Amino acid sequence: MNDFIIQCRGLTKNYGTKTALEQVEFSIGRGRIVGLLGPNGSGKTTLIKLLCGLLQPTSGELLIDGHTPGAYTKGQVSYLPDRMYVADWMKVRDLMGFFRDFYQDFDGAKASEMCQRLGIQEKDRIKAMSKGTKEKLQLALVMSRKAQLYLLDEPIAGVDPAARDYIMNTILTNYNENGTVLISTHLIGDVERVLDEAMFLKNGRMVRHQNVDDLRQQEGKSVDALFREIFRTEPFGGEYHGF
Amino acid sequence: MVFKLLKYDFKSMLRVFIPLWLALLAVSAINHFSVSATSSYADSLIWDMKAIAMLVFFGLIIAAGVLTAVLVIQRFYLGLLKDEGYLMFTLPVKPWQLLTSKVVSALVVCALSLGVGVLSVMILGYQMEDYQRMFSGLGTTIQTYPESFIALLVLGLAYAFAAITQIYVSLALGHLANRHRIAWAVGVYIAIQTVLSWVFTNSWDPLRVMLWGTSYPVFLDVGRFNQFLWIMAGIYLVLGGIFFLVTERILSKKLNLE
Repeated sequence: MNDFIIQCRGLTKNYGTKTALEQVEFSIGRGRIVGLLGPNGSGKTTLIKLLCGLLQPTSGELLIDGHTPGAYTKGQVSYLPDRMYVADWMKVRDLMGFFRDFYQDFDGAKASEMCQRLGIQEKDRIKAMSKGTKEKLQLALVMSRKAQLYLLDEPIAGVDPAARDYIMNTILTNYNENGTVLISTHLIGDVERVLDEAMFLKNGRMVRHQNVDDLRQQEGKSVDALFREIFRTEPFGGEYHGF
Repeated sequence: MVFKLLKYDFKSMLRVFIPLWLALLAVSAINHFSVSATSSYADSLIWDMKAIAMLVFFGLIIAAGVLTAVLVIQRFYLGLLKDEGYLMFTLPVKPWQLLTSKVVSALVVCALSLGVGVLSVMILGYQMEDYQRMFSGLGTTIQTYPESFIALLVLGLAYAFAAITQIYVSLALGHLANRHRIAWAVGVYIAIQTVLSWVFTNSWDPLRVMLWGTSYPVFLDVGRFNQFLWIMAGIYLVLGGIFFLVTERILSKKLNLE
């Protein structure tokens, strides 16, 4: 077994003439909770899509558990995208069957229990669910896998604070503790307390990757405060000091 | 893994098709009985109802044809190139397996739709003696020309394979564009179709002369007719293979989900 679940060397991704990621280098070990932090458009989703094999790098090397992204690594990665990705013609039981069929590490009993707690019945049609329920169902399915790597793309974006707490609790109480969780977000305050490591992406470049405790000690401030400092943009008309 | 993928592709398609096929068969059976039961009456209301029933029947036949085409396109486009693609392309399967499942399910559904269409027409004009004569004639023809029958079947399959993969490669190429992907896909489809029509039209006579030394019509000679069928089947298989390969490469290397 490889010591690192993710290894990235000189990773670059261009969309036509636009560079989304440039010379990104990092390694992540096992059993870590890592925050992939950066404002919108910094390259977080592109990096996650590369990790789960939805995109091909323009150059550089990317290894998951020592393998280039492909059928093997997809079996090790549990991915929660920033959108609804389940077919709405399915019923919950179809979707569970689907996960059971394709993922050997899927724990059907755990998924059923999580659905029951959410008041979701196996006979429920996905089409008839609210957006929030669909998102929770997706999260329940993704977290019901005993994966080596969880890639969670903006899991708490666009939801109310109570739902954020539910999502974070679901992640923390259900992930495989030998696996690694990579959470992309720009809502640092909500995830800071659970992170082992933080990676800052700015304009497609990795500007910082450090253990969170070391970072706090070194900088004398929280990750949230550091984030605001790194990504501060001078507002038009000058700074407002009334906050 | 392909079988597991097929299970879900069939589920997604058959949930729409089974009610449609049943409706088609039911309407053709109703029409059959209404035609035979009321043929001796000249009552205008009954004639109107018969006309409406026939209209519904032919409407359903057309709907089945259009729906088959639309669903083949939709299951590929929505299932792989839109949001569902995020799930399908993160499954531990290879892109060729995803594509094979789409092609096989589309082929089977097209064949079943065709079968149900033929069956419904047969129910509509059900005459036991006529069908006995027809099937016995068909059996004799197959026994007399077995190679032609097999070659026709293979040609039908090869043609369907090429037609389906031509749609898929057009969608995949259209998907490479950053905007107006459907419009690009339609454009690519028309371009491929135009090139193929031109090639088929202009290469047939020279090919005939090259193969048989004459442009004598092939349909007057069973041996040449069979050769023609096998050549066409081969051409469609190669075309379908190229379309499949190009689509697979795009899905593997150039996947561009928004």
